[in-house]
Amino acid sequence: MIRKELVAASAEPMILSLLARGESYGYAIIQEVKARSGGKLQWTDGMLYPVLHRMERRGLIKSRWAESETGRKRKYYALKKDGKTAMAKHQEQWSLVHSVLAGLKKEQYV
Amino acid sequence: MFDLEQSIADWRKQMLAAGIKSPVPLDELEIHLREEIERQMKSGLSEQEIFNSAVQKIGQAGLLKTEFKKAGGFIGWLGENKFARINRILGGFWLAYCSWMFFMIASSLLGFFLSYKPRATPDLYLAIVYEFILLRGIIASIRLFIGITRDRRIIRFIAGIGLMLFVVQIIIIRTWPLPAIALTVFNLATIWLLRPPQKPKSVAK
Repeated sequence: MIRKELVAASAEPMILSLLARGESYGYAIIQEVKARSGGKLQWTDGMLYPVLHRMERRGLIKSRWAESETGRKRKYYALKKDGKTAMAKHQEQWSLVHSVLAGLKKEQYV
Repeated sequence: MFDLEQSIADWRKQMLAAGIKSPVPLDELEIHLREEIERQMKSGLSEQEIFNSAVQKIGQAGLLKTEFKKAGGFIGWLGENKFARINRILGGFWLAYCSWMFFMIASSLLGFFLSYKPRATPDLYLAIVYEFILLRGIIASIRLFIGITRDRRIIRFIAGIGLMLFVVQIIIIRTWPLPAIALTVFNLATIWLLRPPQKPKSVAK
């Protein structure tokens, strides 16, 4: 299982990256993250919504209520221009962290 | 016999009691809960087990409330809807106004009682009565500021007195001082804006 702090830190870039593929709603976002991480990245489901609301308040994403094909109301979130910029920054920073760690790991095996 | 709809309604009440009052997060959480229950229906577990598991996944109400509060920032801190925010702002202003007036009159009264041969006049009795009203206003505005809106009538009453004094001032003194006009606008705004908190409307299901 991945550490709580890392899960929290990765939430925003992950949500931004998922929304970059198209608008989505809370439940679908959680299922997507679970599926992509093979269930190793576990969010407390309810905790996603405060993160989404904070991101919306900061102008990174926008939301709208719409009815799903089953007739259930859902709140759909979509990326805004500032969100795209934030996503690019996040990706750059995470790539840097990843490359440093990968380099160090490589040195251990040399 | 387990009743899923009743259990969801009870869960919603628990969330409301824990402080997640704003309809939007609560509706989103309920929709999430229903989606999770629906997904697990094929698992072969009983409805009750599925419900319990979905509730556990959503998380504890207290923790969620803290996170939502953090997410709301200053606006969120002010209140979960427009009326709650207006009430809190008015509560703050009225607390400042009532406290200021209370201490101004109290200091005058103290000066009066300490003076040589104080004489009881109708003004003195009026000032003492007004002090009691202001003291009640301070308590009411503190309560309004922290979200208890039952004392709205008291604030409205003091605002009404303010309006009355303004009319008397115009009739007797025939002056239109700017601070009095500003205070009158504030009194009128209070009477007009103080409303009971909005009841959350659910869109979930």
